[in-house]
Amino acid sequence: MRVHADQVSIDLDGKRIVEKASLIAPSGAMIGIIGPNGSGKTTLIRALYRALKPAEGTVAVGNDDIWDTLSARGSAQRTAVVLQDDSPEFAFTVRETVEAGRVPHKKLFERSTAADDDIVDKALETAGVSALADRLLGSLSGGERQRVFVARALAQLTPVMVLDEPTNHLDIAAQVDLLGLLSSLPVTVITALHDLNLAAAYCDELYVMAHGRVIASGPVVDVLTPATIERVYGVRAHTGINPLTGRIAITFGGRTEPPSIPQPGKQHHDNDQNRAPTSERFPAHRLDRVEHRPGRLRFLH
Amino acid sequence: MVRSEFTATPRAPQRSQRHDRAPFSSAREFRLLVVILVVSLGVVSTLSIGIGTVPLSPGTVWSSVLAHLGVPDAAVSAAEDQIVWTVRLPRTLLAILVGAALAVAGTVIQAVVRNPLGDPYLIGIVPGAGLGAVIVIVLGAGAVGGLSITAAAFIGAMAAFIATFALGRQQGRWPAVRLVLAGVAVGYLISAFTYFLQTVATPGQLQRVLFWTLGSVSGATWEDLPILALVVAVGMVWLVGNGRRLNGLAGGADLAASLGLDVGRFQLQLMGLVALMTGAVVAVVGGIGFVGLMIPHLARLLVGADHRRVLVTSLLGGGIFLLLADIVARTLLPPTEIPIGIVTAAVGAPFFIWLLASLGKRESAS
Repeated sequence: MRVHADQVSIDLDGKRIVEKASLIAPSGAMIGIIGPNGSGKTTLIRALYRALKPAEGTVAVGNDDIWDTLSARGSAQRTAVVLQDDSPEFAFTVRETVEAGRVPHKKLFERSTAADDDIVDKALETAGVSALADRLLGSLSGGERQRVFVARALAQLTPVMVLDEPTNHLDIAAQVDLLGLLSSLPVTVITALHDLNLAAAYCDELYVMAHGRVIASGPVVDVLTPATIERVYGVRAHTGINPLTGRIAITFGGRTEPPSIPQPGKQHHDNDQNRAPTSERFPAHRLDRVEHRPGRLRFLH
Repeated sequence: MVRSEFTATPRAPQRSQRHDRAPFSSAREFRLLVVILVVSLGVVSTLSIGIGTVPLSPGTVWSSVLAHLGVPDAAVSAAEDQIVWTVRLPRTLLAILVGAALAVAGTVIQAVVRNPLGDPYLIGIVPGAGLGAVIVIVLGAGAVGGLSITAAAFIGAMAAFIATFALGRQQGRWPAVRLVLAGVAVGYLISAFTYFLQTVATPGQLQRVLFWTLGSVSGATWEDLPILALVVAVGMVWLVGNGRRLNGLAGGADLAASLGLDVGRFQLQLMGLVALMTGAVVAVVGGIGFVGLMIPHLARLLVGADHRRVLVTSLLGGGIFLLLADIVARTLLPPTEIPIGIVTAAVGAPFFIWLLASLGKRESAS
């Protein structure tokens, strides 16, 4: 099912966090949202599943606006979510956690049926966590836990799945497992990702966010250019082809500008002077910082 | 597609198929537990009615009860019947209702504030009821327009709950930490007034305040019971029907929203119901601590975290526990009755120490 966020602006505590962001996820595609910390990825994602109502703009899943046309339940029957860290405070087992995915399909007082049990079994199996069904969520590794949350989203039987940095804190094997699983699903997947190489390897299209705006979008090869990465992250980048996957691989150099932390012992520079030329080598910056360390230590003593 | 090459087969789970389910968490085990608890409740109730200055045998107790339910039985004397029907049975039923209501309320509050320390004290309900009661005791009913202690305590509970919820609100919802902080702030503010009133109270009034604060079911009458039973029964049915959604809410507001819940409305319904239940109970019996805190934890140890099971277990467990506490309260130092809140605290605090110790063990084991 297609997801279309159109010119979405979102305010939190009176402050604009996302400004006129648009996103189209074609049915069945895997869409990545990348960008630095604080660029608005999580906020935009929260607007896709009715956790945050946009101040302006619309979000449609299928042909229906999730706020104007769909109910909370209707939206939950179309979009399932895997959040960054939503471990409950209580000792739920894996199976109980996945059963929560049935909530939007159940009316008040409606009991679980054999069909629900089958759906939960199937979700556990697809996510590869059947063997963990009777374990407590809190006793699992981070990778196992993320797969359980994916299983819960699967049990929701939705055509759309939205994820917020699902690979955080996972080792590389768990990251590869998880994204492999997601890309094999027949549903539309929209996921925020930090790791640009993983985004390049698994996503069909990428949206790049910076300062609350979508500043680039499209197929991976068009988006993940050294120029865009430098512009968004302030880090020098080189792109090539990953011989194992045939997808784009990115390697990183130093920052294209000095760190924004104030450097002791230096007078104020205006912005132009502060911005080091792109050609400047990374070690020069490190030397620059190391030189000033003793001064700071002396200050501390 | 190159993607398929990158899609390695998922790693097999490294640990063997161990389980750490709670002992009564499957459907069959849970039904067994419910039967055990219902039978225990019957046994403890019979004990509770039989124990006292005039001891009565279980046979006498049941004959008397059955006689009132329309089964004729001549074996009961009028005096015995009087003791059972007008004194001990209402007291026993009140203790069950109070324990059940407080335990269920604690379960819901812990789920809504996502905090294991959640109980009716934490969100201001009990302190609010306390202020209402203390105003009437110290300043007299005239100060609040002729209200009884019970009515004033109920209004106090509701007012404190409303203040807590007004303060804890943020963007149409009640974030867990904010709600807890609001409840604590309201609770302390109310306590300031309560303590101030106590400093101007006479020794006789202070004694009554103390007894109210520690709670008692000794004043039970048949008149108190129907309304309390109705509130608890209706509340319980609604809560069990919403058990699945409560599980969703325990994962946090955003997850609950993604599961199709109107989070703000659901939180308000849950807490409004809980405030009504505890407000009604506390207004009648005074402040009784630890039941709302301890029983839900005990229930989770038995049946796991699923609220559909925890709520039922808390209901029955809370009733049994408070009934036992009442038996201890009236038999420990005869003929004096000690306040029931002393008994619940004396049992509850060691339980928490044990819980801490066993939790520590479990964490180091995994």
